[in-house]
Amino acid sequence: MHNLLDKEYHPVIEDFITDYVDDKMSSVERATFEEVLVHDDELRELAFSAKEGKNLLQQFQQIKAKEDFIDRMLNSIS
Amino acid sequence: MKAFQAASVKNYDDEDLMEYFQNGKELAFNELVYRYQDRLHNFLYRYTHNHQDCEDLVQETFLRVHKSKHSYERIAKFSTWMYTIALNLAKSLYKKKQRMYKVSIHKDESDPDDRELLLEDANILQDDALHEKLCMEQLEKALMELPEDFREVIILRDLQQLSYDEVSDITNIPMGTVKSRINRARAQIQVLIKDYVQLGTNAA
Repeated sequence: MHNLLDKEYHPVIEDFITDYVDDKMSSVERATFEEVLVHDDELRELAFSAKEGKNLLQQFQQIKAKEDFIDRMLNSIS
Repeated sequence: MKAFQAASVKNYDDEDLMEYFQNGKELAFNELVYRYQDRLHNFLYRYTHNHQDCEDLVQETFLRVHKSKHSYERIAKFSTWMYTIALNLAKSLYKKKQRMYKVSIHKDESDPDDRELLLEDANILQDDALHEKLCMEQLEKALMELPEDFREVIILRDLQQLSYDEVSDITNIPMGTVKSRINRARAQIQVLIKDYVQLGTNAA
């Protein structure tokens, strides 16, 4: 299995990846960063995979407390 | 600080509620439990994968908040303080369970009947609901395959929707490392899911 966990970039590049994935870049920054991605296969794979991974995580079902949790919780304190 | 108004309890921010609670207003604590019960369940379930353990941890977190109310100082966000307590409890439970389950099982090479047990995933996609359930299970599995350092930061960031600053405060990890781990963890989740899908396709 391919492992993306090991390689680490300069903190500035890490910031760019985060902003790219979070859609926090200006159009100029985005265009510049995408130009870099065109020429760096590993960085492109990391950025694209991170973006897709974030989308996958957004599908996670939310676990909720049981309806009577608060009552039982507060009873245990009093 | 203004006098506590029970009718306005929903309008207070977390830090105000904590201060009122420190001054003896139990209703303020109840409101904090109400606000965070689902978020804490959602957070701690990723560590326990067991509803009962999860609920026990949530309860223990709130009990610690209640018991240690005077150790909270308003310089920190209430949520950061509470998640730090929850994360420490989750890590303690995780270590405890690891010790409990550290059982060594060796295959006896001299015994022809002693074979390693292979568990096959015989998932058959029958309808959309099942497909969705399997996707969630795959995501859950991928999350559990990540090393703990990576898992905890994306749980806090992508499942709890906390800011990078808060994640850094809670985990006590520098911001640069937090971002780097989040980038890799997100990417690795995608790689793992892709592998599961390919495995499923090849097996079909």
